[in-house]
Amino acid sequence: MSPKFLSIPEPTLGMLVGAIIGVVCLLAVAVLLGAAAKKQWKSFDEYLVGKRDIGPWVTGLALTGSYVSAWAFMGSTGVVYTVGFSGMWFAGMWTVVGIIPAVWLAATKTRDFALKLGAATITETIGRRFESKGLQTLVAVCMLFFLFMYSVGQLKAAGTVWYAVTGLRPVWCLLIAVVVAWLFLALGGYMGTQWFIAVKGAFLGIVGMIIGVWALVHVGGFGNISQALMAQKPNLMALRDPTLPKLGMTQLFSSLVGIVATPVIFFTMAVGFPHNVSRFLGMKKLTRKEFVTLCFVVWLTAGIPVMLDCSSNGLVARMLFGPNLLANKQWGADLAAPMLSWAIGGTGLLSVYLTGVVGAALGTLSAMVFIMSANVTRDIIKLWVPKTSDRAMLYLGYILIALFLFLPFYFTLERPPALLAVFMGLSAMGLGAVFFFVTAVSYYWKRATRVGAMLTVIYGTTATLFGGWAVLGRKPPLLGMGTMEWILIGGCCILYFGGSLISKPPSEQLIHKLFPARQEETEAFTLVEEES
Amino acid sequence: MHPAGVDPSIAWAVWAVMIVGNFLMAVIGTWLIARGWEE
Repeated sequence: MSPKFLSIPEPTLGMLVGAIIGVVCLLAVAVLLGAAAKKQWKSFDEYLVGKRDIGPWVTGLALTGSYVSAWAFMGSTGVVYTVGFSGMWFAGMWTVVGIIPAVWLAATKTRDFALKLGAATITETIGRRFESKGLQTLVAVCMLFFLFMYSVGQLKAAGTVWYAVTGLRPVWCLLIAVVVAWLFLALGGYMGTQWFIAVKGAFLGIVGMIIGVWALVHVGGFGNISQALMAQKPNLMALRDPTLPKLGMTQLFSSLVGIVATPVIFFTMAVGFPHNVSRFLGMKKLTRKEFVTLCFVVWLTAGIPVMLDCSSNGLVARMLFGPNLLANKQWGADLAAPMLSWAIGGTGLLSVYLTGVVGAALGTLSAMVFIMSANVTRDIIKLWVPKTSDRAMLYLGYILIALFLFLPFYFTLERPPALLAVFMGLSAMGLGAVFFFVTAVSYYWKRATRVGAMLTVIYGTTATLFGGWAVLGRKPPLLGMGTMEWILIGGCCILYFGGSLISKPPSEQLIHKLFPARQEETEAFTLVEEES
Repeated sequence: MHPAGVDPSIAWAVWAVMIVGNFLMAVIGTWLIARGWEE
């Protein structure tokens, strides 16, 4: 530990009390929202998708809440803290580029396609878009696989901050949090999840903005940061750090191949993530003004706060703590964001930050768990055994939600198996690459076929498994993470378009229904809205 | 004097361009889509 810089503070009674108050308030809000949303649904369909009448504010905030995970809120600050400015490409810049195009490309199309096809989930929308029960099942299994791997890490950040702040093992905090998550998911269904994630999105936007601006002001602005970091290690202020290894994850900071891959990674992730796109399933038909409001809300809450949190905060943390946090073998750079909030705002801001991280973890996890449960009930069982009663589906859903919440909880306390830990690192990239094509591109390209979609799903899943081993599992790594992204996205692109072009086109009836001429579209919508 | 290849002002300039660029991208893209909106 260098005495020139701040050190990690010992937990105090004030920190413990603040942490408990923050988390209790958050969980109380979640339960209240779940109970209120219980009145909003009366059938299994409404449980899954609501009444498709949610406005732009709740939808926009929910998209922010779904996309800004605990990793984005905390882990990315740690990346910049560790490697400096070169980490900003991965940790902040392109996170912003991705989320607004998700609204442009997927918002109205997701709502329209799901409504026209009578679908309640993204998987069902895809299955009906491609007129294939086989594809729907394959997508459900693939989504389940990716989301499970991705969900495992979601609570880790919350557990880390809880332990760092209170000095207590996070078992009770996280156990109560997942029980509350089960309550609002079971009670409120889609509406409850949407409301909770929206509240969380608004909270993260405000907290992110406050800490980001406060940190810059606290240290006296850009000039002081530059001066302090140049004195520590000049490469911390380099846009690209060629001294870092060009294979493995650090390729994203050390090589142009990696840096150029980052916008592609985040663009496909934001537009392709099923838990992001699902936020549009329950949205109302937007007017022009409401669409602009939706874009503004997402930009305001996910744009600037994420940018500051993920990027400049890491630099300020490095300036204040020097390399001291890296000396902590247990948590290391993950402590950069919470310790920064303590350094600039004391116990009060630290409690607010902790509440934000627990909310971030719980919100993104809930969005994923709800989809995973529907993948089994609606997209596999109900698809193949249509006579299964809605009540049975509902009860099975409750059990599955409990299971899918428990597993990330368990793996947060107990080390996940080595193989799972390796694949977790690539699961977000794989999820984005596969579903960018299978969902978003399929909204626009009418010639896309089930063969193209199936090949994309199979290749994307296989390539992700290979990438997990080649980039993160193998010592030394065989490939850089950026190179792997090009392999992943290039292969998905070739197979999606190639497979579609060499196979039989979709039926005329489907094309007519989903891609009508403008006047026909207006008439078709009037009909669908009247029917629904 | 800074070491060769590391100039903090360039790094911050890129950072600022990204923030302003993101804002302009959001405004222009949204405006273009809203222009062709069918009520």
